[in-house]
Amino acid sequence: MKKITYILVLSLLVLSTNILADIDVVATTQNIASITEMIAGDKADVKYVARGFEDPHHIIAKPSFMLMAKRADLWIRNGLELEIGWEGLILEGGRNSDIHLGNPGHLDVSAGVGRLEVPAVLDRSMGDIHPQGNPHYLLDPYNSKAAARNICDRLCELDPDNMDYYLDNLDKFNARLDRKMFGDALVKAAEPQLLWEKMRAGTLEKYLKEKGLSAKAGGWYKKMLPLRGMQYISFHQHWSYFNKSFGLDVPVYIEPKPGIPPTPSHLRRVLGIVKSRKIKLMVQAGWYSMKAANYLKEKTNIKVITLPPGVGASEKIRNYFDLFDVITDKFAKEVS
Amino acid sequence: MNIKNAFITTSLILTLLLVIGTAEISAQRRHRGHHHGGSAQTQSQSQNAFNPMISLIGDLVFEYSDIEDYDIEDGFNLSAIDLNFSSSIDVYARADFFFAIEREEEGTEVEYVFELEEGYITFLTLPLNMQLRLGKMRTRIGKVNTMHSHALHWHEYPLALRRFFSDDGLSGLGGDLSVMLPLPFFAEFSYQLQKDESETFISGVENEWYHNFHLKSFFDVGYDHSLELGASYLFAKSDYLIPESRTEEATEPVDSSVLAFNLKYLWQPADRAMYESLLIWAEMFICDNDSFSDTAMSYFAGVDYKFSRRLSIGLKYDHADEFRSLMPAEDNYTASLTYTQSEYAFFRGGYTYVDKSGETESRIFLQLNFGIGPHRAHKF
Repeated sequence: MKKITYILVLSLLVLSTNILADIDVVATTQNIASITEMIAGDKADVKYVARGFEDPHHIIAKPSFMLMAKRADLWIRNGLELEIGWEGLILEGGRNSDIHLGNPGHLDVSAGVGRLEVPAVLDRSMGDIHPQGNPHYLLDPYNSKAAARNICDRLCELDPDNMDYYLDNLDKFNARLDRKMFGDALVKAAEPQLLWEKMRAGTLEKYLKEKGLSAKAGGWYKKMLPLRGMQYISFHQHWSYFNKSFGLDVPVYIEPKPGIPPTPSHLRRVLGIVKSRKIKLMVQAGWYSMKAANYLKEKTNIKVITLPPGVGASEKIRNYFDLFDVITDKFAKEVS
Repeated sequence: MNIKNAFITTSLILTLLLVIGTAEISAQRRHRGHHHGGSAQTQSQSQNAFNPMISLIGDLVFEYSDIEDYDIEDGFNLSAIDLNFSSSIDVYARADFFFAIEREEEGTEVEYVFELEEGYITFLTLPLNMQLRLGKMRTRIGKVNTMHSHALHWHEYPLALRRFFSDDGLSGLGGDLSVMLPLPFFAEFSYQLQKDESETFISGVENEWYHNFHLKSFFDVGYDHSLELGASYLFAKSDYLIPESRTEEATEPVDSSVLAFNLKYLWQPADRAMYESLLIWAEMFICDNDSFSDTAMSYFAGVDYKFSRRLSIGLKYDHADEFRSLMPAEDNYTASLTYTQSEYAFFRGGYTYVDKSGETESRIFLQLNFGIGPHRAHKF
């Protein structure tokens, strides 16, 4: 009986939180939902479509998502055609024109993000390519700044009464991201924006040495520093932005082309590259089969790790910052 | 007939415009070396961006029956090519047109007929969670009838639809008004007023209007399970031929109705969705018409199990009661294996055992389905 009362009270509390929220938001991925929650705080009820442990390319446009879309004030999408297979159906089925493309209730957070792997030629023989570039840009922490800014701007537009609250949360988000990336001491000693710029230009290490700040470096940057220049194998082109940010390189993918399962001949080619370049690590998202990984493990001494590409992919990853804590921890641990 | 001609003319004009547009861009690309300004090219490309989304889906089917002169013809058939144009019209509506190029035989002559399969305008901004569609569209009787043939889990529509309506199920010209009900779960009620262009028992030879009501509900059960339940009721007053003679029309319009129930269950573990899923379908149609004495029932139940990234196996049972004193009771047992080459092409092979009131038949089929262009995804 106590248990039932507890559940009832909890349900009422959850329900009341939703009722009190000013804005109903639906994000297409859990990563975007997490950033939105940090900007919107208790002023929005944030739901999402693709969970962190799901492949966001292959979501089914279920009617329950249409129900979410119907009730939403703001639809936030990743963009770069990540949602092309299902977003249109959900929006049309939701019958909520306020969140259709072109309206204030529809936000694409990819605006202002530096794009990688924009194909020069478009043809299905190239696999599941994205005409506007690789859509996994939120795996570069820097890109979350642009996304957070876009979310904040739109929340301010829709709910100007709480503008100061959103702007304050945006500042907190950026400050926390700076500290997470470079560590508290370095952020206190140097201008964070300059650190980001140097890091993206690949000159941060040199700059810190010149300024005598190397000892102050911390955070994800310091954790990943020993891995700079490392080559590893990945199943899908998930990690391109992460690699650019942290100076890693993937010379070959398990998929011969994006979205295409590996063939024996392609795996032999991968094996050749692993051996010739003495590659020690392979990385893949949890939703892919381990067959190719096991084949490579049998033939070489490569380590295979399952990395979570999204918030919610494991219990430890409750928000966007946890995601990079876990990813960088796993990289650092496996390589050490 | 005029409407059909108008659609064909429209599509030909659209195709012509696209060809001209593409040729214009190609010509400008060729001239790029001479003219660096690029303003005309930019303008043309931006206009090109407003072109409708165009895709083509082909369905190549091989069928063999151990009985000659029966329902199917042995050999390869390019059974259908679907040409799809989709685009927003403006901020209030979108247009979806599906043309089919279908093979038709008359004696020894084979010809390909270009016809409108579906073509409708959807009005997206109506109040009260309503949506209106006008044009030619598939009727929401059950679930499978609303699907295009290339999206089926089988190489043809279930026996119930083929028997009660046509090989392509039931579609008609008219309107569809649907509303999402204000309930905590997904529930949609729709009403369609349509005119069937083929001479089914529903619409009769004069192609009378028919009314169809459909209630669709959907439930997520945990993360990995989902269930769709639906019920439909269709009725019409038609002048259909009296079955015993088939030469004389009913003197008074007769009442026809179809009551249908559908169930679709999907198990798809989110973290292994690419490699494993289980789909269960079941639909039942109960058909009543005053010009034949008994109520006829037809139903099917099928299972589709995906056991690897590319392979799935399907089993289906179809049953149909004797219908209009012309078609005997029939049971079909089908097993199939589907190899999905990519999102854009699959092969399917299978075997069907047919029992028509004691007369048996074995059929095998092979299907290649492929699509080019950005075809819109299909709903759940």
